[in-house]
Amino acid sequence: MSIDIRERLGELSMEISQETAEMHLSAIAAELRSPSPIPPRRFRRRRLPIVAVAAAVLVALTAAGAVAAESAVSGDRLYPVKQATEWVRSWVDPTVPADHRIDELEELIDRRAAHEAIADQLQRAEDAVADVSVGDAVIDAPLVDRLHAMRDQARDVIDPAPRITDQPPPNVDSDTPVPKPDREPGDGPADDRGDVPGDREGSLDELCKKVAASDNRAEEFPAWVLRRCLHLLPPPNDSGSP
Amino acid sequence: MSRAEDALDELVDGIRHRSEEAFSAVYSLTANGLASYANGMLRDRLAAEDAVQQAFLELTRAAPNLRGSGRSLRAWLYRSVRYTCLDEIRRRGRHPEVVTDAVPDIGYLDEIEMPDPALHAALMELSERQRSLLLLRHVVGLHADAVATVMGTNRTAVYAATARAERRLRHLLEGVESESTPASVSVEDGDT
Repeated sequence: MSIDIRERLGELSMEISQETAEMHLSAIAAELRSPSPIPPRRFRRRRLPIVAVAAAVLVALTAAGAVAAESAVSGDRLYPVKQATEWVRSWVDPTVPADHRIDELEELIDRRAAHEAIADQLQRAEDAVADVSVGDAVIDAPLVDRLHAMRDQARDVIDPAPRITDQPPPNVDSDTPVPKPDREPGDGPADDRGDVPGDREGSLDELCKKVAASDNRAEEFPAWVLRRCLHLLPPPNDSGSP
Repeated sequence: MSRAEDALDELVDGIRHRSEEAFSAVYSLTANGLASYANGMLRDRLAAEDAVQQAFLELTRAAPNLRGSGRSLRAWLYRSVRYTCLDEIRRRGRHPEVVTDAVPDIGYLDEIEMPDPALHAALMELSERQRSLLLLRHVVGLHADAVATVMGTNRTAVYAATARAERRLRHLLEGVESESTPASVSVEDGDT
């Protein structure tokens, strides 16, 4: 016996009565008039790029702030940012704070900051280096070398006069306050404080005035004195000499 | 593409915007097919109508997130009806109805008489998946591609599984009509 399955299945189709259809449509209409409980997905999709862009901007701003804060010193607006990044970095490298304090000391010297500020910063740098020391052993020896170098520079700035007057040349008399040094120009580095000409009672400012007044200052004064007095010297174009 | 699919394509945007007119049009295009499928699955006309209504009510909530063309919309509706039917079948398995002499007064008992009780009985012997395939292909009249979308498979699998289901249904019907006891017919083919 052959049975036509498809034909018999086709007879199973049913139709919804008009009355039932109207009932269904009124229920659907009532549901449509109520607010949709599910927010449209396209809004969520639109929100995603906004959140991504905001996150990217936030990361970029944070990174830029951290970079800009690298050269900040105590009192600057970005200094708290530097301290925050420094705190995080110190988890990995405990010498970071000490390194930063020495950098700040160098920055203050370059900025010709007030002597009190430099002295305070020097103290902070020494404390920071001491913090990374275990007993007498220091974790980072180059750090200590840097501290010593910067300490010398800082003391030169804070208290330059005694260094100049402490070591007067033996042939100085009161009539010739700024004598020509024994050494010849070009004899090498002029940072040897022992051959510095200077006023026994004078200060750096007075010495610089004399340097500025000199017509032959390059030969009369060592290089480090000229550097110190650079702010009082005329520009090179005007004088034709350093 | 069929004319019904073209019409559904034009209505998808209205459905997304929860337009009453679009819902009404989609209902008139699909409700009878959905009801036929549900009726074949449940052997219960009233439950079939409820499943259709349930599908459209769910569509009102999911409409803003609906994607794709008219074919996707139709597949969504058939899937919704299928899941409702599966829930109902499970519920009946857990709580079988107690047979009583009392007849519920539902108003139109004549309409809910099954036209082919033997066929319905044989269909109930098939697995849910085989029943769905046969109903969607031969009662609703969906193409193999559309059936594949509803069933979550591919066209080739639909052809093969439908052929197996037809063979099994034929054997079941032969057993029912010769012995009037479909349960005694041996099972020849497995599920898809």
